[in-house]
Amino acid sequence: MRSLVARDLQKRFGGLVALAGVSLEVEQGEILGVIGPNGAGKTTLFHVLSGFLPPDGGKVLFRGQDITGLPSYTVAQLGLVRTFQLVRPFAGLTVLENVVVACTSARSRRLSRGRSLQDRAWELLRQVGLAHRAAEPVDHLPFGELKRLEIARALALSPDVLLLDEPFSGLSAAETAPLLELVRTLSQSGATLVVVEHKLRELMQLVRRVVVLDFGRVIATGTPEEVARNPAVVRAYLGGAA
Amino acid sequence: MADVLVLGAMQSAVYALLALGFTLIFGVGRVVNLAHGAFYALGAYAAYTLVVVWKFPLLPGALVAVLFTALVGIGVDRVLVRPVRRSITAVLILTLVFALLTEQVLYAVYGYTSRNIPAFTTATWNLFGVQVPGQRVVTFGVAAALVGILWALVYHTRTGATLLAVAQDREAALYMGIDVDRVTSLTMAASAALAGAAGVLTAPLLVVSPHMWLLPLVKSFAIVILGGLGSIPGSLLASLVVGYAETTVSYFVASALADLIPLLLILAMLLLRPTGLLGRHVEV
Amino acid sequence: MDGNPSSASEGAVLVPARTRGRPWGYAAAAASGFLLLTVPVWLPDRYVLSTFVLAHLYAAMAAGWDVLSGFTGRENFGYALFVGTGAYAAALLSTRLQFPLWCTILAGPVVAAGLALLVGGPALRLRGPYFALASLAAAGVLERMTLLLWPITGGEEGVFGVPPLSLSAATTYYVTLAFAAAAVGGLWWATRGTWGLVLRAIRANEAACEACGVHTFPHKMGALLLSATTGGLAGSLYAHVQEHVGPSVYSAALSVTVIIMSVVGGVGTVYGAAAGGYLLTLLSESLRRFGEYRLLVFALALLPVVLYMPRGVLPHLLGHLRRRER
Repeated sequence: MRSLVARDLQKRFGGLVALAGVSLEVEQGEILGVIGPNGAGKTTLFHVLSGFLPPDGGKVLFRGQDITGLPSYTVAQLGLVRTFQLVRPFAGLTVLENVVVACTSARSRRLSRGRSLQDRAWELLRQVGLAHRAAEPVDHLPFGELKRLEIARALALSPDVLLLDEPFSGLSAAETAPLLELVRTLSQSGATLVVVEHKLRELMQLVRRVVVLDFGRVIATGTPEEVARNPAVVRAYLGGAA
Repeated sequence: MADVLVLGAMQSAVYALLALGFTLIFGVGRVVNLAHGAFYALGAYAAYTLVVVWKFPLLPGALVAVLFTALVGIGVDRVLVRPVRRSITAVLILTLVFALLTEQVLYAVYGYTSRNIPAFTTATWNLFGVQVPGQRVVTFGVAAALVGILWALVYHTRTGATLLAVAQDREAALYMGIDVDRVTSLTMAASAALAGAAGVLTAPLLVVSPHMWLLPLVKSFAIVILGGLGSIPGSLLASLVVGYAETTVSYFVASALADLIPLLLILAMLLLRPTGLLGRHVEV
Repeated sequence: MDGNPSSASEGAVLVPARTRGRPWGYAAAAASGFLLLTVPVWLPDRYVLSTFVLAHLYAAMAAGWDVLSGFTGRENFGYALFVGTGAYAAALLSTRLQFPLWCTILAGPVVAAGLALLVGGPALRLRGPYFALASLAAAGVLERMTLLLWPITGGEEGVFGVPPLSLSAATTYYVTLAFAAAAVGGLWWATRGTWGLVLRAIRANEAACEACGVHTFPHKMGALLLSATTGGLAGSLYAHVQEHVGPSVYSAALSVTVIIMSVVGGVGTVYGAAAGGYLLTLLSESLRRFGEYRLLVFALALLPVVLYMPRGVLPHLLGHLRRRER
């Protein structure tokens, strides 16, 4: 069963073509990696998939339903949730409160089966390993923990598909390991994940299938090994013949 | 019809001064300066004080008035804006309060009776068949000249390049060794000088009263939003649009409504197309 | 404010403080409540009472401003729009159409709320300086229109002969006190829980809110409606207290005064905004001999607060007390 389908997505910003016809499919329960050099259109792809930006052309199908152009809060309510590359915590609130806000969404309430918002938030914090920071202002958190907070907020919606935008970027080696573990656990519990990442070493440990973007197009798909050997991919990353 | 064309141009020229100043400080310093209208008022009042009260000769008096306004601009930047630059709200509030304070001080010193400044020239010229008071022509000429000088400075000098760099990416400019704080202060000085010059130039045409800061502020804001916050060409284009719109309405409908036009334009603009004609994207 | 962690802590100079049910806060509220209730008893002077009446109205207005602007990041620079509309609605209905008192008082919030519903849709899409400008312009438009439509509104002179709220100074006092208590209390209660959290989250990062599945528009609209209704009711009460309404109720000075009160008292905390309202009204009245320079006083009060106590006076004090508790 295909959880998420993108068909020929196009997006331009003025003269810049960010997506020039991207198509991909995500199977339920898999972890799909999306890689590509800077400017390939990975984040734009996420924006379009999750409803932050409407595409100029193409369709997005989520569990068979056409969600193209729907606003982000609706898409999130349907179960397709994304995190941000540059974390976006709610400044001025505590860690717990940050998660509580996510728990107020209708979907979260519905799926938490009557538990109070606070309880649900605690549970999520425990799941990502941030329970010890619950009462602290979010401004006190180091980057690695902010990333985990992002995930906790996303999990509040019990997503069917989770889009992780560069979850490992900016993390030190010490911070990467626990996050890697968390993502693996999420996947093992049945979540469908799409991960954009530059840190190929971490990514290749997680995923079994990879899509490669360059200049707004898919230039290769396959297992990590296949993709690493693909000459088009190598050219895209290293420049190739000028 | 010719009247509208000629007078509209004059009006647009003054608006261009105001709008450019406003958009400059926003582009370079990311400051929405609600004291901009106060600079306009200060320019006018400074000219009044120097020329009428202290009997300075006209031209030096005008120049000193503009200089004075520029200095006040630097003061506002360093004392009010710089400490709280990170918070847009604080800047909005503090600059607006400065404007109100200025009104209070001007009222304290001069009272609410409107004052007048003598015109630079009392001659009447005939342009394209339209009788135009000499003062208006002078105003137009000087304003156009200032706009031209500014354009040349920004786009064709090294200082201008520095300005544009800071406007584009403050942090990167900092890494390049540019003293961004100083650049911002100087930009504020220039912005204030432009507003002050507008005040000096229009003072002989209108009356000078303590609450004369609000309408020019709103109009500048309107024009700049229309043209796109941070876009110099946009501001110039929008100045023409608003200047002519006002003149046309004033001429063919009723002058009382003229002031309402920019206000309604802002509202329409903001509600329908917040990025303006040529401006940047509003952030996602 | 792009969510980049290095700017997360430095980005908010006017950070709303948190309401936590601390004993100090409740005690202070109770004490001030008691004091306010008994003012007519120990200060029966007519002038003093009228000052307090004004203070009640301003406290409510500051709280009303805060619920939208302190919480959702829509800084309203034209709050006078709602107050003035409420005032003129009451004044015109009572003098031109002879509507009864209770009717005209209620007309204020109703008309103001209607206005909010009308413009709220497009207006709430704007943020920061754009929203500030739109609100400033809107109030300005109405101010101009009262002058232009002088046959109806009395132009510069305004509307005279508005029936008084009550002939007894004490009754007027208690009615406005009740309004202030209801407004401040109600707004505080509405924002102390989850809804307040969501509003603050909207201010912090609206895009992230939507990413979490929260549809922000209804929340923003709710805050706007509460803000408008409070302002409108303050306006209509004001009309009946002053027995006269002029274009000054739409003035930028009024809008800024309300902002200053809220900022000084504590943005993002309803009780702080209200306290700011009381503080500054009483302060400016006690400096009456400076007459028109009221705004000067306010401005001078504002500067040190914004620079050194960015959360506002009350949260700053409460913060000190909490720290000493530990």
